[in-house]
Amino acid sequence: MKKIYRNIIAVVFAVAAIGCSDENLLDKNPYNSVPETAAFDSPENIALSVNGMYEAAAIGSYAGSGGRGYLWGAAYIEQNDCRGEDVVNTASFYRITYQTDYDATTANNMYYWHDGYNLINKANIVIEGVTQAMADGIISETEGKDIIGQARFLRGITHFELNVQMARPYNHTPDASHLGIILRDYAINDDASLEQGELDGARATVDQVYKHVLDDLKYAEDNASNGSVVYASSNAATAFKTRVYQHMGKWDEIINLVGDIEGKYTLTPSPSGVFDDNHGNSESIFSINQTAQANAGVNGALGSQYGRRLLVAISPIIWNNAGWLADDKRRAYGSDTDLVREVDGSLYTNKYRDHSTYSDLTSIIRHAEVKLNIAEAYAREDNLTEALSRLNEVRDRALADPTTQSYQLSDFPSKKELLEAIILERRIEFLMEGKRWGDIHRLQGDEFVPVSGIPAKVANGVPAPNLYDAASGTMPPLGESAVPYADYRFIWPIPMSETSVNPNAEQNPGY
Amino acid sequence: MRHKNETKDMIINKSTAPSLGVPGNILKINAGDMSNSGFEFSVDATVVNNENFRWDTGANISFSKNEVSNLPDGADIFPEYSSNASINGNIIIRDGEAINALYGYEYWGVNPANGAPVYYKADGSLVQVDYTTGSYYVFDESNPGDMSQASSLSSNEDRKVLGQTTPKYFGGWHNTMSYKNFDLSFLFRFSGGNKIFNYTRRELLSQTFNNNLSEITGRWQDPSNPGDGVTPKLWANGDGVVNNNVLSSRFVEKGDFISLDNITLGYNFDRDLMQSVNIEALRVYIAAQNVFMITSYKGVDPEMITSYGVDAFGTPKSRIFSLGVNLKL
Repeated sequence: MKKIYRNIIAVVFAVAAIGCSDENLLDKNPYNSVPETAAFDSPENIALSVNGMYEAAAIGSYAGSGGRGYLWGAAYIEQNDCRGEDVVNTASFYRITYQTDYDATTANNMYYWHDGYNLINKANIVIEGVTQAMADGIISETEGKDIIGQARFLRGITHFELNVQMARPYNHTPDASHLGIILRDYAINDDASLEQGELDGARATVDQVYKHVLDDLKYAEDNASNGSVVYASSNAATAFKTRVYQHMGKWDEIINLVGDIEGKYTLTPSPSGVFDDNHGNSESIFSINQTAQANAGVNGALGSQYGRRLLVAISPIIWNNAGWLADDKRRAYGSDTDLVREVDGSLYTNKYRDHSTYSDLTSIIRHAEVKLNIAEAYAREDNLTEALSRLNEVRDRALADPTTQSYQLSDFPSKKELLEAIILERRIEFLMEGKRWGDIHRLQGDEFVPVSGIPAKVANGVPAPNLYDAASGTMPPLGESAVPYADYRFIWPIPMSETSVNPNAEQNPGY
Repeated sequence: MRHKNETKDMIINKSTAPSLGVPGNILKINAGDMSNSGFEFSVDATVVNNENFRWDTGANISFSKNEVSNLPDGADIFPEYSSNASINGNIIIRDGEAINALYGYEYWGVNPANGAPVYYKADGSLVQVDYTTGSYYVFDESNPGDMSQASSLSSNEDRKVLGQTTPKYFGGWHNTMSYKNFDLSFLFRFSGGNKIFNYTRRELLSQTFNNNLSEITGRWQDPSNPGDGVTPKLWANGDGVVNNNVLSSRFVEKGDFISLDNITLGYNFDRDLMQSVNIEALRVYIAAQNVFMITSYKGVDPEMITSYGVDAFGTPKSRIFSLGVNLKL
């Protein structure tokens, strides 16, 4: 046997408990950061804060990195288009929305909610900050109320837009008592307001949401000034009210607004006028500002997704529609100022033309929409003559020969046919401007122009060139099946990021 | 050795509801206490030491208990809002639990009659999902085909803590041996008691016509071919209903493992011989790292955690073989 040495070393010792003092060590107002009140302590700083609010509307923040144009800068148009059947998603960017494959964790619908409420809170902070600044005499009453009007406009339209995505339409219940979205109308910027906000986290009814939106728009109408197209104005609030009343089916209210808004703007002579000159045209009422400096890095910008990258195509469904005349100017492609662009035989929009620095403005509401909103309201109220004149104003400028092609009253046996023409005109005129989903949403079960659920769509992917046959009346093969109105996927879920930490936020059934 | 480490008033990133509009949806708060306590043991020994053979060995093991207490109002906190669906809402800080515990539904299995996934509600009753509507119905084991009684599965009420993400024990065993001119060393390491959310596995069972794991062949196909009892019926684009976007225990796995982390075999050339050619010492060796791992974990590696005990497409450790020469002049 060989000698074996064994050395065993074991060390056992105890370490005393280590603790910190009981005081809260987190200084929430560290001396090296600017307190929020400083944001409103001079007219210059107030102007910067207001710009910050518009920046939140234009770019937002996505997945902790740069923004992708949520909510109003680009996502509003892209998501609303891709929920409808008049476009085809060609790549993966909008596939989830296009194929109604979303759930409570998918990013498109999640950031709509996140960035929407981030904008709403920034608007609320501006409202409270400017209210204090007015009281302190830092800015005048008129200037202050103008800014508050702009903030309330942005808050109102954002509440409205979230409601269109996450809640059933206004007429889903007779008194609109079904679930809407969460209303936020005070700044959440300290512990007390945060706690209050958590308590107030339940969803309002749709009726409450619409009342709140109209209240905001009324204030904006009364107090905001009129000026640049990229700032919310009194006129923009009036124009937007026609959209809100349209979703409510309050046609008489729209007719009441005709005198207030119709004469304030004029349609551009050419159907591409708005896109030829984003800033200087006579038709745009409110657009989100985009500049080469601010927007160039935005992954999601319209000039990128619809322009350079061709991520969404025009659908053969609308292209082949026989009601859209073959020689309509809005079908033209080949020139830089045409509204359509052909690439390898497939058709895309040419409304967004800066493919390198993405400086195209995002049109939120323009006069053609107001005209067609008025047209629809008159038609609904059986004033077909007034309705037809507005419809023709929008359509005639695009016709090859208005004298022979313009609609006559005799073309329409009843108001149903006229309404159908108005809805079709909206699909053509606002193609790839994010208006289709709003119509699908509000026209469910409509008496005259019903849409049934989310219509079937052309299969995801670049549409084959031979599917396009202008005005032929040929329905292309449909690869994405329709989703019935009763299906839970008709509306978007409340993101799980909300429901998991806000026990008051009820999820939409089925998600 | 016993250790106990108390942390008071932790700085926690608390997720705020996105509808509050707080930038980043995070608030840093001073909240709650945390204690880490446990025992550590280590042993080192020379097992053999004679002219030709020497064997040194050593082992250590630590037992650790982590517990959170005194959260404000006893309210749960969801830490670190993340855009990553693998983390968001699935991790909880709760009084009496280990920090950053996994939180979700408890999974029962697959309804043998129709292939629907079945979950436990908080009251212990079972519910199954209807693929076509996403609604939940009571599941009756004695009458599995019955889908008549509406029920629900609520992320507010029916989730529970599914396990802790920090190991309860861990340690290692290292050895160094030399026999004549040869030397050999290796290290075993082990860890366990923690649970992992295998998000990678869930995403690789996607219902969107992507490549799936072979596990999908165990899916329910019809009542006579009910599969492995865990994998539900397929449903195109139905990730929400089939796999559930809320964490469920179906994708929570044990993180226990033993691994041979490294092993090296060397040979020292005879000193006298080397000095005759003016070389002081020459050693050649072969070594291997991450040689093998014994684990029941279904993913690539239970240590491939991206954050918070979630395995979300992390990068696996590479196995490295090396051949080397140590030359001393």
